Amino acid sequence: MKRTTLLAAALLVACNGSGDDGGDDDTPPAWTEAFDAENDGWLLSVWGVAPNDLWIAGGQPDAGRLLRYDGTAATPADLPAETPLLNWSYGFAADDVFVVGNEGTILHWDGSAFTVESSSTTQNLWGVWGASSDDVWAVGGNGRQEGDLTLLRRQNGVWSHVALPELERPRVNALFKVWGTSANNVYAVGQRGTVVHFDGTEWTEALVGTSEDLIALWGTSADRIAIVGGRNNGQIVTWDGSNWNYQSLAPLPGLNGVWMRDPDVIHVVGVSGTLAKVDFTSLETTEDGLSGEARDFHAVYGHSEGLTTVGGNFLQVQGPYRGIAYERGLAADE
Amino acid sequence: MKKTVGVLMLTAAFACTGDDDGDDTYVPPPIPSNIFAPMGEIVPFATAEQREIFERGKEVAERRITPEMGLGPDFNVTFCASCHEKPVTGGSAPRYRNFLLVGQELSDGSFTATGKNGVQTQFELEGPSRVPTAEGTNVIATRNGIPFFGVGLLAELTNEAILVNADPDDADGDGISGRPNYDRGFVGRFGRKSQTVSIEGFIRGPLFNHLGVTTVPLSEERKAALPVPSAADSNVRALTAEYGTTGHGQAAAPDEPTVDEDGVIDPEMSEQDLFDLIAFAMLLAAPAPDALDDAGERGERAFMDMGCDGCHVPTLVSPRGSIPVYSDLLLHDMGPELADGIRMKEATGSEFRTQPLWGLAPTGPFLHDGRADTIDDAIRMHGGEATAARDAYLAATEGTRGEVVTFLEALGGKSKKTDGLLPPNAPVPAPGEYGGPAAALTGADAEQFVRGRKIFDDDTKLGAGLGPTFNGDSCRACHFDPVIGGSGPLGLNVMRHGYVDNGVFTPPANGTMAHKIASDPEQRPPAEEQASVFEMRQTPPLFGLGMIDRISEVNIIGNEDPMDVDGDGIRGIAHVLPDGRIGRLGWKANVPSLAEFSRDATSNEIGLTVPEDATSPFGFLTDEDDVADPEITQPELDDLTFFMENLAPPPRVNATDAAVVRGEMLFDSVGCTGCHIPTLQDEDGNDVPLYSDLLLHDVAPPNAVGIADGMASIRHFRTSPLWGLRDTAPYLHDGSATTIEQAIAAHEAEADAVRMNVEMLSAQERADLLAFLESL
Repeated sequence: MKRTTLLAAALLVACNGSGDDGGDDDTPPAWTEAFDAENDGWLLSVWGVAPNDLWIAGGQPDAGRLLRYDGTAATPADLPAETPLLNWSYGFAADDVFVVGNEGTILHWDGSAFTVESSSTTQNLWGVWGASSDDVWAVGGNGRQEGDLTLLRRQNGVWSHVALPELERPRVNALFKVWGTSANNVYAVGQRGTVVHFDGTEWTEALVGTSEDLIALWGTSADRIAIVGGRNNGQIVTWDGSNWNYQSLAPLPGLNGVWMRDPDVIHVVGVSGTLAKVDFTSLETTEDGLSGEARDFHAVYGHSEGLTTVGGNFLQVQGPYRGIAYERGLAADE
Repeated sequence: MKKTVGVLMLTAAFACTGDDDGDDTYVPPPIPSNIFAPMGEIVPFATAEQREIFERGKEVAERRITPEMGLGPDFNVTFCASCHEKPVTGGSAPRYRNFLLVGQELSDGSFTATGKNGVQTQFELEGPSRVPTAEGTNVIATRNGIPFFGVGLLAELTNEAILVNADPDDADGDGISGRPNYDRGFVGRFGRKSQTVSIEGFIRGPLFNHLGVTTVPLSEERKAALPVPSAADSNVRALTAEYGTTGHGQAAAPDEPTVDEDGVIDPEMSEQDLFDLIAFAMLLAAPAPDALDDAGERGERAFMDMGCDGCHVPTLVSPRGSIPVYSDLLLHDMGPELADGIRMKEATGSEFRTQPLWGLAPTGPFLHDGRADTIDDAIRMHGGEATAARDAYLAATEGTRGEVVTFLEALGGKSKKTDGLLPPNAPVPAPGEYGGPAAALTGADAEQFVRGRKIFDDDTKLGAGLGPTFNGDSCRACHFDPVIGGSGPLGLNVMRHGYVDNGVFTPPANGTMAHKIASDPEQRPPAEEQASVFEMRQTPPLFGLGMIDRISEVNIIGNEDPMDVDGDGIRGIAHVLPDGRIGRLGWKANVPSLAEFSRDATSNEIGLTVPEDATSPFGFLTDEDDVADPEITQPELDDLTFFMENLAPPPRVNATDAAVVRGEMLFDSVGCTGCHIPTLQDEDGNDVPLYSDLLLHDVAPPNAVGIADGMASIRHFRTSPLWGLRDTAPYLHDGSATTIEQAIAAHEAEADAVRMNVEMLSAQERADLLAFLESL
C-alpha cells in the first residue's frame, strides 16, 4: 500500500513537470567535512572548551591519537609513548583535560604536557566526566568482548575503584559513559541497558525498560537527560525528572553519540552515517541530512559555532583505520 | 493484499494519465526461470568461478570441526550441515538438531539474552561437560534448523520490496498487520524473527554460538566479491518519510572478531573458508516448484481464498523479477499459540517472520520450534494474526485441506521428501560394504533388512511418542558416520551425570541420563546441575554388531584375569549382570544382547516406550507423554534389531600392505592384544575379528571421575572393538581423542605398559602401527 502511494507521488511529480526543489526555511545548516581525517585512524570523541579548541580522540587499537582542532585545521598532539587507542575526553579548562582509553589509560593535560595517571586497571576505559577537577569519574570494561565492569573515581588526585551494588540486570561487564549535572547527580550507562545513578552518597540502579547496550548520554539539566545506544537499531531513553521513557528508534540504526543544547532537541549520531535529531518529548526523529556517508559516527559535540561529529570505519577491525569529521552550524532552536 | 495493492497502484497511474480504460490488474514482473534448481544445487546463473566457490563452500559446511581446529570451548554441533542437512546440505534438520534459545525477562519488562549470545550450548570440552543453564534464565525456547535455499535471492531484495506489504497498524482492517524488523537501518529478512539482514552475520553468529569457531568479518574487498555484493560502502541507507528507510543490496555484516579461550589461535576459520561458506549459502538456488495438477490448482485457490496469502505473499519483486518465496518476510503476531518469549531487535516474544514456503515439503518438522509433525499440523497451530486463515482452513472439507497441502508440497523439493535422511529409494549397499548386510539377503530377510533400516532412519514424530525428553529422534540421528549405522560426531554425544563422593558413585534418582532436548519447546530437559560429575558418551558404530551378539559367553569369560594371575598388568573382568548374563555392548558392557540394545536405545535416547518383555529389564514401558504405550511394537523392534544384526562389519582394507603387516606384528608385540584380542569365536566357532575381549578394564588416568554402571566402576570401560577405526572418529568413551594417536596416548592404568611400549616405537614403527589400525 505504501508502495502505491510512493508511485503515485512519483507519477504526480512527473505529470506536473515541476522540478522545483525549493528551499525549506526549517532546514538546518548543512554538514560539511571539518577536515580530512582519512589518515587519522578512528575518531571516537570530540569535546572542547571553545569552538577553536576541540579535542578529538581516537587512533587505532595499538596507537592512540589526539587531534586539537581549531576550526580550520586538526593538529596531532604529542602523546606519551605507547599510548593505545583513546576513547573519550572531558575537561574543566584549557589546561585541565582528562583523556581515557584502552588498557586503563588515563591522561591528564595541564596545559603544557600530558601526565599518565595510574588507573589500577587494564580494562578499556570508555568514558570520563567530572563535576570538578578533583571529582572525576571514569568508566569502562572491555566493550563488546566481555570484561569487568569498571567504575573509577578521582579524588585528591588519586584514582580508585568504586563498587556498584549488586544489579538486577545480569551480566553487566562494562559501563560506556558517565555524565552528570553536579557532584550529587551523576549517571553512568552501559552494557545491556544499564543505567546507574549517583546521588552523592550511593549508586543505585535504574531499570529503564531496555536491555540494549546504552552507549552515551547528555542533558541540559537534571530533568532533561537523554541516553542513546543500540548496536543494531537506535535506542533512546530520556529522563524528565519523573519518569524514564524508552523507545526504539528503528529503522534508525544504532546510536553512539548524543549532545543537547536546547532542552527539546536531542542531537544523535550513530552507525551507517546516521545523523539525526530527536524531539525530547515526542521522540520523533528527523534525519539530519548527510547522504552517502556509510561509515559510523561515534560522538557529537556542540558549541557556540555549531556541531562537530566524528567517527570512522569501525567495521574494518583489521584496518586500515579511517576517520571522518563533519561540522555544521546550529540553528537558534537547536 | 496482493489484489489491493494492484488496485491502488492502478489508481495512482490514473492520477497521472487520466486514462480510465486501463487494465485493472497489477502485473508483477515475471518469475525468472534461472533462479531454480533441485534442492541443494547452485543457481543456474552462477559463473564458472562461482561454481568452484560453491563446491568449496559446501565442503566447509560439511567439514567436521575438531577441538584442534577450534571447536569449543562450548558447542552444540561440530559442523554447519548438522542443522542444515534435510533433505540435503543447506536445508533444515530433524528434531534431534533442535537447539535452545535462552533469556531473562527483568522486572522492567526488558529482555536480555543469556547463554552464549542467547544460545544454550550443551557441551564443554573442559570442566563438567554439560553447560549449565545461566542463572536467572526464565525464558527458554526451542529452535529447529532453518533452510537456506534461496537466501541469496532474499538478500538481493530492496527494503522497499519487503516494506510494500507492511501494514503495521492494520490500516486495511484485514486483521493482518505485518511490520518489518530492522537491522542497522535495513529491513531484516533472515532468521525466525527476521532479525538479521546480513548472510555473513547469519553465518558468523552460529559459527561462534553453536560451534565455538571464531572468525573475523570479511574485508571490504571480500565483501564486495561475494555473489551478493556486501561491502559497507556500496550500501546507501537513507531515511524517507514514505518507507521509513531505503537500502540497496546486501548489507554489510556487523560485529567485531569473535574470540574465545580454547587455546586455538583466533580466528579459527580462515577468511577464505568463511568467504566460501557465505558464498555457498548465497548461491543456493530456490527450490524448483513442481507443476500443479488439478488438485494442486484447487489447493492454490483455496490457499488464497482462506487468506493464507495475507502473510505468505506468493511473490516479492527482486532485481531479477518476481521470486515465489511465499512470504512477506515481515513480522506477525502469532498469538499465545506460538509465542516463545524471545525478543530479537524489534520483534516481540509473539512475533515471527512469515516463513518462506518454497521448498516446504521435505524440510519438516515445521514451525520455528519444529512442534508440527506435518504441514497440516503446522497450519492448525497458527494463531494470532493467522487465526482467520487457520479457521478457514479448519472449516474446509478434508478434501480441500488435502488439496491445500498438495499445493504447498508442490512448492519445491517434494521429490526429496522422505521420513528420515536416507534419500528416496536409497539402494541397499552390496553385501560386505558399509551400510549393507554382512551377507546377501533374499526374500523375506531382504525385506526385513530394508524395513529395519527404515525404522532406524525415520524421524520419530511427536505424535508417535518421541520424548518427552530425548537425545535423538531416530537411530540414524546419532549413528551416521560414515554411513547409516556408524558412529557420530561430538555434537551428538550423550550426557550422563551423577554424584561421586570418596570414589563412590551415586546416580541421580531419575537415572544418569541428562537429555538434550524436550518435546515441550519451553523446557530444557532436567538435570541435576549440582551433580559432581558429568560424562560425555560418544556414539559407537554398530557395524558388525550381530557378529558380536553371537559370541559365546564362555569365550568372553575365558579371557578374564581379574587377579592378574599372569602378571602382565592387564586384568579384565566380564560384566556380570544382575540376572547372571554377561554384558557385551555399550561403553560399560552393560547390555547383554542386541535385542536389548534396541530396547534400551529406543527408550533412553528417543523416548519410545517398548512392549513388556519378561525376560528383559531394558527399555521403558511407560513415559509421561500423551502417546499410548508402547510407542514401538515388538515387530518393529524385531525389524530394527534384524537390521543391526545383519549390518556388515567394517570392510578390511589394505590388509596385505607391507606396512599393515608390520603394524599388525607390532600391535601384538607391544601388547595391544592383551585387551584388543584380534578375534573371539561365536557360538558356531566362527572367528569374529573385532579386536576386543569385550571385558572391562581400568584404563582411566589417575583421579578420574565418571559414571559407574553395575559392575563397571568409574574407571572401568569395555575394550572397544577396533574394526572400522579409520572411519569412526572421534575416539574413546567421551570422544576426547580426535585421532588414533591421541586415543592410544590417553590409555593409562592397565594399559600403562602397552602405551609406554608404543611411545618407544620409532616413527616408522608408529606409522606402521597406525597403518594397521586404519586397515581394520
